Amino acid sequence: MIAKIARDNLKGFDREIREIEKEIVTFFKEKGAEFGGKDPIFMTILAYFYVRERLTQQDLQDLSGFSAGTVSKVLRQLVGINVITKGIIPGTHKHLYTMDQPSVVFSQFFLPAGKILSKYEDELRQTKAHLIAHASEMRRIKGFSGMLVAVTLLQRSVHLASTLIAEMKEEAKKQVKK
Amino acid sequence: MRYARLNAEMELRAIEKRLVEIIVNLGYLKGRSRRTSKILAYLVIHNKVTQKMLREAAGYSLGTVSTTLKELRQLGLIRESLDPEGRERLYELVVPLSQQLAYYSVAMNRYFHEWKEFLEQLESELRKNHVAKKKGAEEIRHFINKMRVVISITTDAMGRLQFTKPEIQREVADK
Repeated sequence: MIAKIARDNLKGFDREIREIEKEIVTFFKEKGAEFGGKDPIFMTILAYFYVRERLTQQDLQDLSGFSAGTVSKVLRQLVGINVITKGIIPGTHKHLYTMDQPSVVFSQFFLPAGKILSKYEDELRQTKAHLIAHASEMRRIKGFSGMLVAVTLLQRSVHLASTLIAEMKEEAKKQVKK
Repeated sequence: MRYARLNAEMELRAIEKRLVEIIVNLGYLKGRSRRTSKILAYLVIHNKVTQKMLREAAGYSLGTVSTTLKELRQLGLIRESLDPEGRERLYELVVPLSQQLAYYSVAMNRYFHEWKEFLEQLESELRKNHVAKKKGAEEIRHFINKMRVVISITTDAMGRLQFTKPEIQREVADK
C-alpha cells in the first residue's frame, strides 16, 4: 500500500504530468538511439535528470522501473563523465545526484566531454605520427592502412567535438550573463 | 628481416589494442557498454568483419559477439551482408567513419528541428485546462525553457564554427 502511494505520487507529480514526463523520456530514448546510437537505458536515466534535476537512486528506480543494479551502473557512468554530481542529503546517509549544466550535457547527445577529449586528441596525434614514422616497416602488414585512416578520422572528429564543446561553454556563459 | 617484420607486427597490434581502448572510452561517454564499444571499435578499424574475426580480435565468445551485433543492428549502427566469396556474414558500420562527421552535422539539424516541434507539442499539452495547474506542470515548463536555451546555445555554437560547411566538404573530399 505504502509502495503504491509512493509510486502514484512520484516526487509530487500528478498522473497527467507523469504521462507528459513519460513522453519526454520516450523522446530522449528514441531520438538518442536514432541520432546518436545511444543506449536506451542510459538515455532514460538522463531524461529524468533533465526533468527533475535532483534525484536519489531510489527515485530513479521508482520512476524508471529499472533494478537497483542497472540504475547504480548508469549513475556511476554519469558521475564518471561529469554529467551529474553526487552529494549527500543533509542529515541522512542517502546520496543525491544533481545535474548542474544541462547545456554542456546536451552536447553529449552527439559529442563527449571536452577535457576527456583533448586527452585522446593528443594520444591520437602521437599514434598517427608513430604510424607515419614507421610506415616503411608496417605498410605491408594487414590492417595498417585501416588503422591509419581510423586514427586520422578519429583525431579530426575528436578535435572538432572538443572545439564545439568549448564554443558551447562560451555560449552558455553568455546566456547566464544575459 | 623476418625479425623486424615480426616486431613491426607486434607493434601494430599494440597500437590497435590502444586504439580499441580509446574508442571504448569514447563509447562510454555515449552510455555504451564496454562490450558494445569494443565490437564497434573493430568495425571502425577493419571496416568489414565476420563474427569469427570479432571473436578472435575482441576475445568474446561467438554467442556474445552474435548478441552484441544484434543489439548494434537494432540501434541502426551496423548492417549485415553475405560475403560474396564465402558463406560467412559480413558486418559493417551503416555510416562509415569517414562520413560520420558529415552525417551527424546533417542529422543534428534534423534532430534540433524535431526537438523544437516536440517542445511546442509539450507546451500545447500543458496549456490544456485540466493539466495547466497540476503538480509537476511547473517543472515541465522549466524543462521546456531549459531545452530551448540549450538548443539555441548548441545551434549558435555550431553556426560560429560553421560546423556544417567546410568540415563536411573536407570529410567528403577526403573520402
